[in-house]
Amino acid sequence: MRVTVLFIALFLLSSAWTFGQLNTIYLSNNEAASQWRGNPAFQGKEKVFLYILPAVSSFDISAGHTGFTYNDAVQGKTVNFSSVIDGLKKKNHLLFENRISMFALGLKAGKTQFRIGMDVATDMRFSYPGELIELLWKGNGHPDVIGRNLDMSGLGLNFISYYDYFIGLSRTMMDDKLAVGANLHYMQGLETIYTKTSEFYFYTDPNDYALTASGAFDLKTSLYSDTTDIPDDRYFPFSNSDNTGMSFDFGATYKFSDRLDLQASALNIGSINWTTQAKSFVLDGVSITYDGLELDDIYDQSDSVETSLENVADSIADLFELDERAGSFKTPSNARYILSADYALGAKNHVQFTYAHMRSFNQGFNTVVGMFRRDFSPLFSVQGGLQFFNFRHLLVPIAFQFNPGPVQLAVGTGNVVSAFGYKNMKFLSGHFSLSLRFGKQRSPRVDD
Amino acid sequence: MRESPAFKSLFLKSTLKIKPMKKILLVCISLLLFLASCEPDELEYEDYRPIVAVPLIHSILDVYDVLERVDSLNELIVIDDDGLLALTYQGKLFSLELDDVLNFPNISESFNGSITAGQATSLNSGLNATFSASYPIELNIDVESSTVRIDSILLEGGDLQLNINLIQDEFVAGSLTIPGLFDAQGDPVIIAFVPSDFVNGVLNRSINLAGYRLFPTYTPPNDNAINLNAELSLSDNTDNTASAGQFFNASLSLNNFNFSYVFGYFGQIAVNTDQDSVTIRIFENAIDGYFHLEEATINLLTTNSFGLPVSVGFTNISSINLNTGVITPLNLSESFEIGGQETINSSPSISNFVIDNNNSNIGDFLEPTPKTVFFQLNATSNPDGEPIPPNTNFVASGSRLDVDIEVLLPLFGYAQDIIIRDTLDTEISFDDFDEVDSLELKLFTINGFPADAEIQLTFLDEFDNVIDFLFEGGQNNLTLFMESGITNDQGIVISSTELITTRTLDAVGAENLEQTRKIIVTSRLNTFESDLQNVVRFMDDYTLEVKLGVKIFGNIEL
Repeated sequence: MRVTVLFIALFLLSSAWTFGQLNTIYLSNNEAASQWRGNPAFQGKEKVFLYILPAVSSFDISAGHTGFTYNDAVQGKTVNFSSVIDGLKKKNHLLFENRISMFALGLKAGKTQFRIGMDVATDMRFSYPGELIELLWKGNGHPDVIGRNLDMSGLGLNFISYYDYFIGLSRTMMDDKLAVGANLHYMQGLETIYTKTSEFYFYTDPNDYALTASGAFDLKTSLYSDTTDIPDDRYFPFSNSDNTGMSFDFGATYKFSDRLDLQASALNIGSINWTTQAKSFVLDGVSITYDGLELDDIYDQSDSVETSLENVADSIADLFELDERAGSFKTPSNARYILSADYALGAKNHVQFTYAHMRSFNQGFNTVVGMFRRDFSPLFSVQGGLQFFNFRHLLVPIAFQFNPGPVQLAVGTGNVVSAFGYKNMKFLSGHFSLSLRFGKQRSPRVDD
Repeated sequence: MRESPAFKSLFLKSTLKIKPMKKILLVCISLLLFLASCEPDELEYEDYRPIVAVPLIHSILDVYDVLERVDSLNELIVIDDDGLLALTYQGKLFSLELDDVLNFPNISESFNGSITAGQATSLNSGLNATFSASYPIELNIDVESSTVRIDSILLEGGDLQLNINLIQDEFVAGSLTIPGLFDAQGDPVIIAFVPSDFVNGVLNRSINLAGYRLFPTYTPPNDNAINLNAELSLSDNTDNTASAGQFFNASLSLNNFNFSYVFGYFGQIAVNTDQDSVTIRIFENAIDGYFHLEEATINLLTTNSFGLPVSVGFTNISSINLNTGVITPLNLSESFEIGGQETINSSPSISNFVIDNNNSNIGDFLEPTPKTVFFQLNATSNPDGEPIPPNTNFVASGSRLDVDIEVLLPLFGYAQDIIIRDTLDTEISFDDFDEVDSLELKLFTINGFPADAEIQLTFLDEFDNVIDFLFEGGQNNLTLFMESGITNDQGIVISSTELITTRTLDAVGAENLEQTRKIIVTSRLNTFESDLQNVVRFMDDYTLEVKLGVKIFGNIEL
């Protein structure tokens, strides 16, 4: 029972609302987890590495909100909704991401690096259109709103939690100039909410206030509606063979010169087929316009006014009633595509520029990152830089790595601003990694 | 007065739409601020002042819908190929049935016979005697005419009853002949009998007269009579001693006369009708204004299945404005002639007498918003006297004369400052308006009719005190809410006119409305350029599109 509670707690912990931006730390250090979270072509400098929960593990959590900041919303002691609305984009996202290494083992033999492991992963994205909030705050009769075809598409919640069992290898060649690698992931889905389609439009005619609403919606879930139905071993690894999926990582690095390394990777390309409690809530494309009651309904029969209004409301509600359908469905894995260039400014200093495209339940996000790393000694290095998430939001990542003996410890954050300026921050993240390493290559003395 | 809780429900339902928005918004705000890591407990919120726009009414009214709202019209018809409309009011002015004109009461005639002393002596000595007599029987015709000549009657039913009662018990044989009464085979009616037909000296005979024909003789002063001829033979009854004097009495009755038709000449029958009326309900609630129709027609449609001509005169035709009581007579001097049905088997004679501008002052008669038109007629048959032979009058069992009236008002004219006023009972509760700052009503009309319309609503409390108006300026300050369509030189609308009217109702207005128990709706109608007396035509393809929406300005404390 205690083990069950432990796994449920672990699952819930991993399901906490967290998420987001690209964790660039993996691209510029040599943590073991970078081999499946950064680039599968990466190889460690040790013969053996090991993560095993709870003593040693790699833990990433990130969260972000592309909409508004606390200071946008609160001025003085007053919540200023006008300012909030001004800060909203057409689509706004609450992004959460969490990865925990439950177990990982790596072996290196010559030019080949083998790895096997298991993560528990949680991704979530709640998206809301800025025009929806504007509509709710200002009302459809507001001069800023009336006469506009409000696009509220994209409204929806996406959530996925799964165990990720992986195996992979990388190998260097061409005198170690080129390294290629791949990982194969077997995924055991736990629960998901997937908004496949979400299109809603709302228009108020400025002349006669006629209301036109149209939309299409497809929400898919694999959830237990009654917690008592959840099997006791539901959240155990290898507990069932339902909700399975496969994905792949591919990567390569190329040492273009003594100073310049080029890196490319494509991570988590695949899908999960959900069968447990799998349902779809579908609204096929509908459109309805309501422009008022017939005069006869009001003039001739007083009782019918209320009835007519209720009938209209019922008709609209019926039109937008979701059709529940049972059946399996697939969710795409949240893939990432990363291009990076690492340039050595000297023996201790590196700069790195990265472009990444990240998928989050069919929504794409782009980011560019510039990082600087200084290796103060073989035991200690520091990374820091700037990231422009979605080319718009500035983040300041910073990380520290310690390598005392067989232990490697890394801590960092994707946005150090969040530590002291939360009222202006939109993103926060934390990175922690503690691994055991054996048979490390002796590092050359670092001289600047 | 009409109850109109409809508007109450309409507004209430509209304002309720704000509440779900508030709930959704609060959930979203709480969620977002939570995610933004703020401390909601310490924060103040600016007032939530959404503006909700709701469409209340959208109707496209055609000409029938519109006129139905200003009038309980009987019928609206298209009277030409272009679609010009006319209002018609139809009704039956009077009817004349056969019983009202001609009746045949039952006839009962008594007669007797006598013998002389010589005949009595002959009988007592065993000899026979003969008796002959002729008895005229007048048909008792009930008709309002001094001169009636019946040429023939085909009977549909009726009974002939003959009773002979012998006073002297002698043997009597013979026959009674009615030469003016023929059976269905065309033979004259002969009632023959022998002495043995008498029972205890009494003889009864009856004849069903269905299919029989009567041919009365008209020899003034005995009008329309038939003769009964008696030819009797008497023989001695040795048990009885005959004596001079009456030896029998008899009676003949003709009952339950029912005829298929009667030919003849019925004279100049005079009929005076009761006064009848037709109510024209258009602008029933009009209290003022000038209403001019270029053309107006009253058709008197007659259907005459009597075989005689009738002349109809007008005892009285007048209209009364029900609002003002002003009575306007129709100046119509002439009478009109109604032809009779030509033959017994032909169709009834149908004719139409038209009262229009050519023979009357009907323009003036209908101009002052008429409400009820009164008619009282008189009729005379055979106005030209007896028809020239071989023509005759006839009536049949189903003969009747119907005079129907049709008032035809082609909607072709102009109306100036027609004021219509109506009062509605209402009760509006604003319990749900606590979070509403004000309302802005917006009326959007696309008017394809050639008429402007202005309106004012006056709100009264339970004591009929005026507490507010929809538009500023008092009860007589009406606001244009429907602007006339543009007409061509024939008065036909060639383009509709759009007009938007808005009215904001603030908190004070809402409070006044809450105390309102009655609403006086005052409207004024003017046809296009009525001040220039331009005539317009109302065509059957006109439409009026009405859209009413409301903007609700909320003020909600979060």
